[in-house]
Amino acid sequence: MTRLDSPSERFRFDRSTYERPNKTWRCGRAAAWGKPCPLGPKGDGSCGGTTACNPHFDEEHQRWECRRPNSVGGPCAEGPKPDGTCAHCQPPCVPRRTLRAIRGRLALLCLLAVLAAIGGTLTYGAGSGDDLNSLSAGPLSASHARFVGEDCASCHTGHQEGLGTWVASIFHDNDMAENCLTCHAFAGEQRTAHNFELAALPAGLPEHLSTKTDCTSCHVEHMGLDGDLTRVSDAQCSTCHTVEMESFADHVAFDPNFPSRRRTTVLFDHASHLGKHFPQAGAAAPESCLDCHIVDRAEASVPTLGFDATCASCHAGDIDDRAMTVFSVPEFSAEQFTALDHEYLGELCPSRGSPQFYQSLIAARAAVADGEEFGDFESIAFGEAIDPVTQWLIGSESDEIYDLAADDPVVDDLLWLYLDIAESGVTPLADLMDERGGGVVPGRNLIAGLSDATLRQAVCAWTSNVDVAEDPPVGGGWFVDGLALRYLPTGHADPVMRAWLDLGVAAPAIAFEEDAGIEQAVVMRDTLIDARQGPGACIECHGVSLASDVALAEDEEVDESMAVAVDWSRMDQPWSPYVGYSHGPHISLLGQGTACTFCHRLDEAAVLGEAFQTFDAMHPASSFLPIGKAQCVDCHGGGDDHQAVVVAQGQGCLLCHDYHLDSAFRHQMAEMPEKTE
Amino acid sequence: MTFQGSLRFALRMALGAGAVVLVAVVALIDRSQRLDLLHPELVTGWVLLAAVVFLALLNVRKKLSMVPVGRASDWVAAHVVLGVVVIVIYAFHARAIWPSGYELALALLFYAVILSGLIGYLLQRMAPASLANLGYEVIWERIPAELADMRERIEASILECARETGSEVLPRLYREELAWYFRRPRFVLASLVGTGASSSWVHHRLDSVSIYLRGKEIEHATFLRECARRKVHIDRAYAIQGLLKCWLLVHVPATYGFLVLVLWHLILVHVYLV
Repeated sequence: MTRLDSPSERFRFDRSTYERPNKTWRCGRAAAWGKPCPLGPKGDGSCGGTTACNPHFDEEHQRWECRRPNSVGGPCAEGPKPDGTCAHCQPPCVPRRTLRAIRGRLALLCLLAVLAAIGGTLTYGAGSGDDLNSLSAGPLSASHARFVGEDCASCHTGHQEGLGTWVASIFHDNDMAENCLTCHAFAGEQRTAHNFELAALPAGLPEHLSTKTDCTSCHVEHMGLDGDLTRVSDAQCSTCHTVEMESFADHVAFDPNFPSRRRTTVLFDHASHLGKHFPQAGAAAPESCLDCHIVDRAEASVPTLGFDATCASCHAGDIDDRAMTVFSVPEFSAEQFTALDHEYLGELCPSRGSPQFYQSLIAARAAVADGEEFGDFESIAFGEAIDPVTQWLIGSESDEIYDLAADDPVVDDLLWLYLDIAESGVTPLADLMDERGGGVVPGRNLIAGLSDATLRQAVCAWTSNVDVAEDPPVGGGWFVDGLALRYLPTGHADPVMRAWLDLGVAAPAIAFEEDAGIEQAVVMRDTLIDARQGPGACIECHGVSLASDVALAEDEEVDESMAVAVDWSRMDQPWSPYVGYSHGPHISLLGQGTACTFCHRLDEAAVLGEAFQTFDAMHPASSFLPIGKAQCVDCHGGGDDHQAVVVAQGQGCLLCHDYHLDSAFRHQMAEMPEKTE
Repeated sequence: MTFQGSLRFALRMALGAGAVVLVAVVALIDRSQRLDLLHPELVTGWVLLAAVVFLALLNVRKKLSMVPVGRASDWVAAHVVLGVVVIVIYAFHARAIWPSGYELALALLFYAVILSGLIGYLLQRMAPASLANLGYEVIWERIPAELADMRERIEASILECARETGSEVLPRLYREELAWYFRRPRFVLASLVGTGASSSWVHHRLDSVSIYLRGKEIEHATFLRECARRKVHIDRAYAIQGLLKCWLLVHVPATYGFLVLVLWHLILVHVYLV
């Protein structure tokens, strides 16, 4: 009766074969679920089992011996053939690979497939925008894609040359930020935190402030067309700003003067106007903030309607009668007058009289100078000083024309100026203003509207001892008043007045730079900005401030070397270039005109005038009380109120703060490709 | 517990503790560098690469069994623990489940390696117990020989039955139905799940003819049933052991592809970013 082997029989040494699954080939018969031959496949994958054994030649007995394994019955009765071949032949099988060999081939296949995929996709598509390209890091943002297109080398320097450079760039640092800065520019230093000017920072600040920043630390590209490069998380700000904040309620307290970093640009005392002047004005008084401020255009500041719509009803008259003297020289002494080329002057001013007349005029002036009375020439205005503006213009150290000798260069220049004006009109005067003003304000702007005829006529008159007395033109303009050329403003923001004030406040710094005529420049400036006369009317409201707009050190004082400018713009500077605030959404939410006082609370005790007594504007002065954090927390603090929670959601540091300082583009990025036919 | 056992236990504990420390250090570096606006991807990337290379060294260790570089079981334990650690480091490094571009292929290969590895680990934990419960031990590579031997004995029994009884019941049953069953492992999936389909199928056939059997035929039928029982065990052993071997058909090739793509990734990072 047939039976199955017990486990102990199955694994008996002479019944069991030794399996070697780590070999490459296995018997083809076993692969076909047949009985495998004991010899198994050869190493080259061919069948090794065409015979039952490989007979062995016994040297001692000089005969072949059967070597059939015991597992398949042991040595056969027939034994090997005389030629040493096995007597039991069987057809060969087709060996198959073992599972391990198949695994190895699969691994090789996978490896090659990946290599092929990398190589095959290298040239797929045009560049970074193609996801299938293995060099692609993903499509660019819309803003960069528009400029860069598919030119990877614009940012990745390793990409621009051949394969050698590409491989070499593996071992070289790739300073991406420098590539960014070929197109992007910022005010201040390009690669410091917040674009700080390191030299301007106080000593003792943390060392990391001087560390070079890397654009890619915050800005992540290749996030697709909708990728927002400017999106920065609060955690990134927390790298340096380590104040723990659960919400805006934990924000550090605002500066006690916020939002007044400096005095306002225009001296307008809201408290005195609201409390005193407007009630006195009666019907013309505004009823609410909206009567003066344009909330529809509210952004960081809320612009006003302007002088004509808001101030003119009361203050227009303060400007109309403020004529200024631009050029005024007393009559020359006899010697000085003699030095004039009267023949030439006679040609230029034919109506002024004959040469004989001038001879008698010269003699008369000499006599008058000696204290004698001489006919009509008694009324000559001896002893009058040169006007400060003219003194600066002609570069005279003295305001007494008679102190100067006839051959003094100043007199000579002045005489030639007269002749030039008599010949050419306003151009020589404009040229002289250009020369003296250093180009700060064009000379033509300083005498805009002055006609050649008016000036020539005035010069001819002054050299003829003819007294010119014109009435100021109606509505403002140039006129000659005795020995002076004067200008009456046409109204608010008169361009000539503004030009003279710009020149006047800049003159001391110009003179300091040239190291000449500083005193004259200071006198001219002080004359022009004197609120009691001429263009000083403008300075009654507009501040004059240091152009640098940087707070002076405690032991530092304003001196003539510092550039000064008139604050013409009504827009006050922001608290900080890194702090932004937009009135617009707040007004939309709170309602126009109803909620200004929610933040802007009038300071009844505010005194603004003192802050305008100096050119150093960095002294906070406002008609309103400072704004504290508490006024923002109600909505932005994320409290229990539903609206507060809604407002607080999604807001971060960037809601109010900017990282960079005035970002811009460099010009070269706008270079256009050459046109092709 | 023996000294050797205590030593191995201590080694396993140290391995686990080392893994936790490694993850903690990587997490700290990642957080620190991220807060410093640096690129922690560089650090985590290099750590990840080092870990992957170490994992791949298991294959080398298998090939160099003669070199005394620790027990294979310790290597496997380290392979498993570090494999889990690599998942965490990868999460720190990639920060995206489905990245774009070629990195998607990199991620898919990584997932294939990790998933197959986890499956393989689970199989190695569970399959030996299932095999032990079979009550029949057979080497996977020797299954063809076992089946061939079984067929020889069955066919000898069938011939003997035909000679002794002259009945065609069992020879016909074997020729028409059971020969297919004993030819090779059948009902592989059912055997893997353990539904008993293989056993049901063969015993249903044998039962269907049992009423026609007489005398010696019953003895031969009993032998057939014994063979069928062993065949059921072989089918299940084939399925379970096959699974233990087949997961490597995914794990190892995917690892090779992954390593090549990692090298490419490394080159691109240093050409375009660093």
